[in-house]
Amino acid sequence: MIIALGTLILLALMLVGIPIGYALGIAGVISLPMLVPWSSVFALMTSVVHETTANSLMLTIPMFVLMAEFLACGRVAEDLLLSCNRLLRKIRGGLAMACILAGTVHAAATGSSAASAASLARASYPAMMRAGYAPSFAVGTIAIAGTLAILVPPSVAFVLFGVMTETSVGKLFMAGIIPGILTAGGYIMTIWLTLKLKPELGPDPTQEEQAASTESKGRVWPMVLLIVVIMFGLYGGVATPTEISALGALGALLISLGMGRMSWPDFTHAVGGTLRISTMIMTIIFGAHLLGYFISFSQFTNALLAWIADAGLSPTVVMLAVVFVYLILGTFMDQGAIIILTAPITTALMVGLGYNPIWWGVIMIKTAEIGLVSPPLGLVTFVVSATTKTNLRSNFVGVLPFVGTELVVLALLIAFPDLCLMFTG
Amino acid sequence: MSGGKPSPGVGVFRVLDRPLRIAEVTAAAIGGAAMLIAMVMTSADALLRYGFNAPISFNYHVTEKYLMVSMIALPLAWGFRTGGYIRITMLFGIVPRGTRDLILRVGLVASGTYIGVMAWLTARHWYETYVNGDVIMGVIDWPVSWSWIWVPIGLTLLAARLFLTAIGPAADLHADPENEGHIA
Repeated sequence: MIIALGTLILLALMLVGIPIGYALGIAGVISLPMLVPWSSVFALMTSVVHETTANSLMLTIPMFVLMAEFLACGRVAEDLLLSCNRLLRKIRGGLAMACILAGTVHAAATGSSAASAASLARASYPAMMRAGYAPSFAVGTIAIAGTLAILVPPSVAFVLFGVMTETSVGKLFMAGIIPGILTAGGYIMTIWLTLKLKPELGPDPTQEEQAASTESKGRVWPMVLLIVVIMFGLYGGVATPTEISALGALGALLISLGMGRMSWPDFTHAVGGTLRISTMIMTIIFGAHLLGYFISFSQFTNALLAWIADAGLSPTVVMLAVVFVYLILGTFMDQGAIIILTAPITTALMVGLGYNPIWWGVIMIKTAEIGLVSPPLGLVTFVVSATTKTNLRSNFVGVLPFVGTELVVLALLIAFPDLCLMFTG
Repeated sequence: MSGGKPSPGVGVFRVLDRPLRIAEVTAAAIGGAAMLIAMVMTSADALLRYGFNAPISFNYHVTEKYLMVSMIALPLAWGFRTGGYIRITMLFGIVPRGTRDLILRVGLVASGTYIGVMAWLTARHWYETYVNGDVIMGVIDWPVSWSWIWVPIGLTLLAARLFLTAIGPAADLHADPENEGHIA
C-alpha cells in the first residue's frame, strides 16, 4: 500500500511535467516519512548529492560523453563511412551496409547513441541520397546504426546500469561484445533482405559503385588507434573503465585537433554539451537514490518475490513480462531515465528469481536500444530526422524492418544467455 | 500567466535574470575546467602508472573528492537553463495552454523548494566541516569542507533558476527542443 502511494505520487509529479530528476527526488522526500523519521530524510537529503558525485566511477559518464562529443567535432564518422564503403561498394546495398559497419566501429569508441547517430547522419545521408536510396530507408539505416552505441561497449548506458545496480561495469562491457556484433550482423542481413524484397528502396550496384568511386578517401587510422587503445585497456585488464574513459576523451580531443577539424566554438560546444548531459544524468540519479531509499526501506522487492512465489508464477513468465513492460516503456520514456529509475528494482527481482545480473543488464540495454528508434518517441529517429531534415513519420516506417530484427536478436539473447556471458568469466 | 501576457513576476525576473546568468555561466565554466583537468590528470595517472610505474599519488583524491563534485554541482543551474532535463509532455497536448503554464510554474516552485532545502542542508553540513576543520586522513590531509562547498553553491544557483523560471515569461517554461538533453 505504501509503495503504491509512493508510485502514485511519482507518476502524478511526472505527468504534470516536473522534470524527471526532481519528480523522483520530491516523490522520495514525500514518501520517506511514511517509513522513517524526518531527521533521517534530512540526513539522506544532505548526503545524496555529495555521495553520488564524489565517486570515481561516475567520472566515466562525463568522459564517455565528452569522447563522443569530441569525435563528432572531428567528423570521424565520415572517414569511417568512406573506408567501409570502399570495402562494400560492389554489393547491393553496400553503402547502407557500410553505414552499419561504420556505426559499429564508431560505437566502439563512443558511448552515446544520440551523438553517434547525429555524426553518422551528417556523414551518410548525403552519400546515400547521391547513390539513390529511398530517404526513409536511408534514415532508418542511419538511425539503427546509431543505436549500436548504446550496446557496443563502451556505453554510457552500461555505466548507468552498473552504477545503479552495483554491477561490474567491466563485466557489462565484456557482455556487450557478442550482442553488439550479433545485432550489427542482423542489421546487415535486414538490409540485404529488404533490398531483395523491395529493390526500389535502394540503387542498383553499378550506380552505387559509381557514387562510391567519387568519394575521397577517409583517414581512419587515428580512430582505429583510439579503438585499439580502448579495447586493449578494457579487455586486457590494463586500465580501469574510469581511466579508459579519460584516455578516450583525451584521445578523441587530440584526433579532432590533429585533423584540424576542431575550432574554439566546436570545443566549447562539446564541453557544454557534456556538462548539460552529465548534470541531467546526475540530477536524475540523486532523485532516483532518494526514491530508491524509500523502495529499499519498504522491502518492496522482497514482498514482490514472495508474492510471485505464492502466486506460483514461473521465473520465465515474470522475466518475459518485465521485458515486455520495458519494450512499452521504451517507446515513450528516455532510455537513460528508465535505466536509472527501474534497474535497481528489476535487477534485484531478477537476481531473486535466479537470473544473472550481467545478463539482465544486457537484456535491459537491448530493450532500451529498441526504444531508441521505436515510435512515438524514438530519440535516435528524432535526432536523425532533425539532422537530415526529413519526415519523421516516414522515417519511423523506415526503421520498422530493423525493429523486427531487434526483436529476433533480443529473443536469441534471452534464449541463449551464454551469448552475453561467455566473456564475463 | 497565460498565452502572451506577461506574468506578474516578469519584472522581478528581468532584474534577477542577468546577474544569475552571469553566475551560472561562471560556475559552468569552472565546472568545465574541472572536467578537463580531471580528464588530463586521470589520463596522465594511467599512462604514468602503466608506462613508468610512477602514478600521480594524489590524483584519486583530487579527482574524486574535488573535481568530480565541482564539475557536476557547479553547472547544474546552467544545465537546466539550457535544456538539460527530461520531462514527460504527453498530457500537454490535451490541457489548455494557460492551465498547462500554471501547472508548470507550480511544478517549478515544488522543484525549487526541493533543491532549495537540499542547498540549505548541504550548506549547513559544509559549515560544520569548515568550523570543525574536518580532514580525510592520508599521506596528505584533504580538507572535507573544500570538497563539500561546491554542492550548496551549485544547488543554490539551481534553486534560484527554478524559482526565477517559475515567475518568468511563459516562453521560458518550455525548453528549446534543439537544446534539450538526452542520456542515451
